[in-house]
Amino acid sequence: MSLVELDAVDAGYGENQVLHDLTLSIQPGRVNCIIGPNGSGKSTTLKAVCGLVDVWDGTIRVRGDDVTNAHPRDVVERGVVMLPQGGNVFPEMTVKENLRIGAFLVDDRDVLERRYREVYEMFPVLEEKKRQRAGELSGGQQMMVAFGRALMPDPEILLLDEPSAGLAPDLVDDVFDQVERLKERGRDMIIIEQNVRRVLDVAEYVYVLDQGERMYEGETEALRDEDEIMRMYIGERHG
Amino acid sequence: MVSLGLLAQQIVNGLFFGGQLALIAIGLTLIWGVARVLNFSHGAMFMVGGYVGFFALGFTGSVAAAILASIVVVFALGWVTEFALLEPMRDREEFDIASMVVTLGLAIFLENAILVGVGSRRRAFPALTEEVWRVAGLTISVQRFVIFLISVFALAALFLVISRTKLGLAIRAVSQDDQTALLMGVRPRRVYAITLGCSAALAGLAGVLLAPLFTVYPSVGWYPFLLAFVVVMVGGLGSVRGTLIAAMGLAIVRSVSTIWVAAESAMVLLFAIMIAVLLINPDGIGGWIDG
Ligand SMILES: Nc1ncnc2c1ncn2[C@@H]1O[C@H](COP(=O)(O)OP(=O)(O)OP(=O)(O)O)[C@@H](O)[C@H]1O
Ligand SMILES: [Mg+2]
Repeated sequence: MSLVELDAVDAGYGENQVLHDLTLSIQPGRVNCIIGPNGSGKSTTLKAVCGLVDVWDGTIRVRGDDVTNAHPRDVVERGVVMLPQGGNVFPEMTVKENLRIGAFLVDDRDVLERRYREVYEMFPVLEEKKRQRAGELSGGQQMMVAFGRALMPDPEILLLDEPSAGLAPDLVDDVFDQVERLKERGRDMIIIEQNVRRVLDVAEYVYVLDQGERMYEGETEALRDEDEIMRMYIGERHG
Repeated sequence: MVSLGLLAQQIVNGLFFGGQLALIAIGLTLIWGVARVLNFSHGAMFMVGGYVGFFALGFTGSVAAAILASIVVVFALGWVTEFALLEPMRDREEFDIASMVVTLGLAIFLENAILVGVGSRRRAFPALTEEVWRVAGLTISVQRFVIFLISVFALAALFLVISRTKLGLAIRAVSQDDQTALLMGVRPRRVYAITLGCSAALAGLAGVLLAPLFTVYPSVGWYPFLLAFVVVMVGGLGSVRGTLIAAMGLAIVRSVSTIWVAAESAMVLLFAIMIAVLLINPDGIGGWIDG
């Protein structure tokens, strides 16, 4: 069964249709990425899964359960958690409160403590700054807060919307190192990235979107033989 | 020269008055901060609190029961206001304006409903106590002192909920970024309803606590609403800390200024301060301390 499935989805904002008859079937046990030009509907795709965008037609399922236009909470309860584009930390809350609210649906103290430890182990700087307001941190550290917050509920599948955008080169390396670590530990992910070269090194399966339509899907390895797609969306240097 | 005794007396009076102002104003600032509603029915909630207290007192003879009844009924009124009137409009572009108009309508409706149902007669609410303490040359009305203590207690409870509980975490998350709060599994609509309820309950509590001073009549809520409005503008709409500081500051300024000027002129002074603060920083005190 697919972990997450979009079946002929039309979706958009107000009158503006963004996704056109989009079908994606995310299989468990692999790292997926979505690439495509700016404004092609990558974020909208993940937001539709999470219940943040109106789905006009079609069906979205998580492990077979219909979650089309469900409340975002129902999606989180099914283990689908998103790191939104730009991170969107809660600036007035401390780092620790940001992590706490990431696990809003978790009440068990022992479980919470274990999750804090795991996140602090991945991002030691967050433990040092746990009492500081998130809005006072640097951009890179805020992204770590957002990343840690998304890991707090221990999601079955993590949706990352441009986790490396706007970061200095060494921080971009850090982000991809973390993604690698999560992959080694068997975490399922869907990653949106502008940094195509880097993400193709991690992802096992690729979707290419353009103007809300799926232009290509397939194993990363197979993509390298697709001259047309490589030329249009990825750039020659990788071919 | 002003005698120190008189000055001290006016500062104490101001402090007590500030507690009352804060009790009314915090609710107003809170719903703006969390639910983006400038609630023009806040004064009507105060008025309903007074009436519920009046009737509950007549029915049970217990002041505690009257206070409890006001809190519960007006909380429910705030909750229903969110679900029945505001939620259906939340997806609109101009929710800020629409919600102002709707809550103003609600205020007028409630006032007239009481006018028709209960009548316009002023209802006297018995004083809690007439007792007066004289401490170190100061005259302290025990009733005002008790009102002050209950206000402090209610606001402290609110602050604890907001800063220490999971509900408070959800409230803060929604006020900072409701879309991202949704992604955490928070239900903003519930948070709005609870916030409207709590805010209204504070106004209702103020309505019953101050009933012995104001008496109870259908339009009794407008003056406290106006004062709370000034406080909230000075404190910074949405800033709980700024509003608290503004309530205490303005109350003490008003109280001390009555040493030299008549009480009506003191009101003018408050408006002058409001305009001056808004000219310097449109975000009020909150703009300086929260930023
Ligand atoms: N909240 C919104 N309201 C209205 N239109 C929106 C909203 N968010 C996105 N859009 C529009 O939807 C289209 C797709 O946007 P989306 O954010 O999904 O693109 P994207 O592929 O993630 O782009 P980027 O690479 O810039 O992040 C764009 O035309 C955008 O203008
Ligand atoms: Mg995007």
